[in-house]
Amino acid sequence: MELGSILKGMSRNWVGPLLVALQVAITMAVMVNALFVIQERREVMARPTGVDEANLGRTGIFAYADDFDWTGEIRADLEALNNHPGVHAAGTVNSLPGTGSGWSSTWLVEENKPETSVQSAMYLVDEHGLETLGLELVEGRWFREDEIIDVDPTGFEGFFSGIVLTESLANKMFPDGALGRMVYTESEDQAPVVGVVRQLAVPWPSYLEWEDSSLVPGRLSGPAIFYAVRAEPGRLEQVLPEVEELLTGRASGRTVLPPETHREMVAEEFTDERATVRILFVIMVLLVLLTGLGIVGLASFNVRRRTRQIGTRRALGATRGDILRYFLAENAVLTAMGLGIGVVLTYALNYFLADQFNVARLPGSWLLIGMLALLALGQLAVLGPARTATRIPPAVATRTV
Amino acid sequence: MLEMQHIGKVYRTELVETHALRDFSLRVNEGDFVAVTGPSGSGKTTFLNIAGLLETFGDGTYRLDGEDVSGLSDKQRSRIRNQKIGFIFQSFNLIPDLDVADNVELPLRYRRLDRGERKARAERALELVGLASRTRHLPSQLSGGQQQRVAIARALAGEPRLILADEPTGNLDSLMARQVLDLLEEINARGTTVIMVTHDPDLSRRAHRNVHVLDGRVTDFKPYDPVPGGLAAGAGA
Repeated sequence: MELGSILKGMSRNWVGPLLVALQVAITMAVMVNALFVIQERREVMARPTGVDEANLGRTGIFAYADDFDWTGEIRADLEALNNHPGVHAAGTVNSLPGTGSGWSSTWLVEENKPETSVQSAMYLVDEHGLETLGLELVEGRWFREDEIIDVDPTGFEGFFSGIVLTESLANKMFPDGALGRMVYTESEDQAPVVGVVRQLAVPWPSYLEWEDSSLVPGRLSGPAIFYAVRAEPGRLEQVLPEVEELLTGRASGRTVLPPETHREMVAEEFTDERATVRILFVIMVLLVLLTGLGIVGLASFNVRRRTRQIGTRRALGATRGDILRYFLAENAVLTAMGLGIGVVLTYALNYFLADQFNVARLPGSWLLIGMLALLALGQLAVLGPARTATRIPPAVATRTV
Repeated sequence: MLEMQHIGKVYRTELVETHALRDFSLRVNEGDFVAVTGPSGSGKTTFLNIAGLLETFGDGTYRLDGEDVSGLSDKQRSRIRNQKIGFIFQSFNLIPDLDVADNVELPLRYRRLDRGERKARAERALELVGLASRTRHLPSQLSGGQQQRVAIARALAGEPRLILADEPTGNLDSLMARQVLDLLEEINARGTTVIMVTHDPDLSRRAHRNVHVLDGRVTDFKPYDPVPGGLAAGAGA
C-alpha cells in the first residue's frame, strides 16, 4: 500500500483534503450525537408505564349544574361503566402516567425530618384502581371502598388511611421493606404503606425518577373528574364511543369529556419529542449525504486531474485493482484523518449536550460504530470515481492530454 | 524479442474510421536499438502503444519475448508491462506528488517487491543516470533533462528486457537531448533492447536500425550501424 506517498501527496495539495476531512469530522460529531439523542428519545418514548396501555382509555365529566349530585352521580356512572359490555373495569383517577399532567407529593420517611423527604407522583385512585389501571400488586392490599375520601385540591380535612407505593419508590424510601411503615407529610399527616405495586410511571415524561409514584385512596370533589376505563382486550376503540354515549345519556347538568385512549394521550405528550427526533434525523441524513457528495466531488476531481498519472501508473504495470485500491486507500486516509478530528468534536458536542440538555454521556461503542459507518460511507462514496479511474486506459500515458 | 505479423489497428468513431496501422509487420531482435520515424499521424505512437501492450489490436499476431500476447487479459498485459517493458515518455510522466525515489520505485511497488529491494534497485538506477543525490527532490524541482533521466531510471529499475521510448528528447534542448541519447545507448550496450519513436532524423541516425512508418505501414527499413546477427529482416507490407 502506498500510504506514505498518499500522505505526502495530501500534504502537497492539502486544502481540498483538509476541507473534506473537516466535513467528515463535523458529520461524525453531528451524526453520532444525533443518533444517540434519537435513540435516547426513542427509549424514553417507549418506556412502559405499568398500566394496561393497549386497553386503557380516559373520559370524564364536568358538572356545571349547581344542584349536581356529585357523589351520587359518580357512583351511578361507575356502576354503569363497570356493567357495560366490553368494559373490564372503570374507576376515578386524577391523572394517568406519561400523559403530561398530574400531581406530585413530598413524603417524609421519618416524621418531622425534612432531610428524609422524597418526591413522587401522587395518583388519586378509588377501589377500582388496581383493576382499572391493570397494576400488579406485589405486596399488601389495595384500597377498600370505605377508604376513598373526597379531595378538594384547594385544601381538605383529614388524611388518607393508607398509601400504596411503587416498588421503585418503596425501595428508595424503605430498603428494608415498606409494608406497614408510616409515610409522613410536611404538614404532619401520616399514613401506613398498605401495598406495593410492581410499576407505575409518573405523569411527566421528562421527570427523571420515572417510576417513583404513590397512590392514595381519594376522589376529586368536583367540579370535574376523570374516569379511567379499561376495556376487554382489543375492544377499546369500540368501547370508548359507547362509553361517551352512555355517560352523555345517563344524566344532565354536566358535560362528558371526549374519550381518548391512553396511547393517544401519551403520543400527544410526545409530539415535540417526535418532531425533534424527525428534525434531527433529517439533518443527520442531509449532512451524511453532503459529506458523501463532498467525497465523490473531491475524488472525481482527483481522477480528472490525474488522468495522465493514472494512465502512467497503468503503463508501468498497475492493474485495475491497483488503481481501485489506490483511491480507496487515499480515501481511507482522508476519512481517518477526519475521524481523528471527529472523535474530539463528537465528545465536545456530547459534553455540551450533556451540560445543557441533560443528554447522557456517549458510550465508546457509539464512537466506534460511528467511525466504522463513516469509513464505510467514504469507501462507498469513492467507489464510483475510483471505478471510473480504473477505466482510464494505459495508452493515455503516451497521448497529449 | 518482438515480432509483429500483419497487425491492423482501426480507431472508430460514429463518423470516421481511421486505420492507424495496416498490415504492419516488424521483427526486432534482442539487443537491437531501433528508431521508428515517420511524420505526425503516421502510426508511430500506435505502434509503440501496441508494442508496449498499452493498446490492443484488431488483426494479426504479436509475439513478445517468445510469448503470443494477442489474447491476453488486461491483468496479464499489466504484468508483462511491469516485468518486461520500461517506458520513457516524451513528457516524462513523473508523478508530481512523489519524490524522485518514490517515482523510480513505483513500477517495483506494482511488482510487489519489498521495501528494501525497491530501495536498492531505485538507488542503482538513479546512480546509473547520475541522480543519486536527488532522491528526495520533487519532479518540479528538477530540470527537464533531469526529469527525463529520472524517468529513464524508473524504466531501468525494473530491469526490463525492452525499453520503449516515445520521443524521449522531444521536450529537451539539444545538450540534454544528447545526454539522454548517450544514456539510451549505454543502456542498449548493456544488452537491453531499445525501440525509440522519434521524428528527428539526427536522433534516428544513432540507432542500429531505422524503421520508417507512413500511413500505418513500414515503408522503409535500413540499418545505420549494422551489427552482425542483429539485423534480422523486418518487412513492411
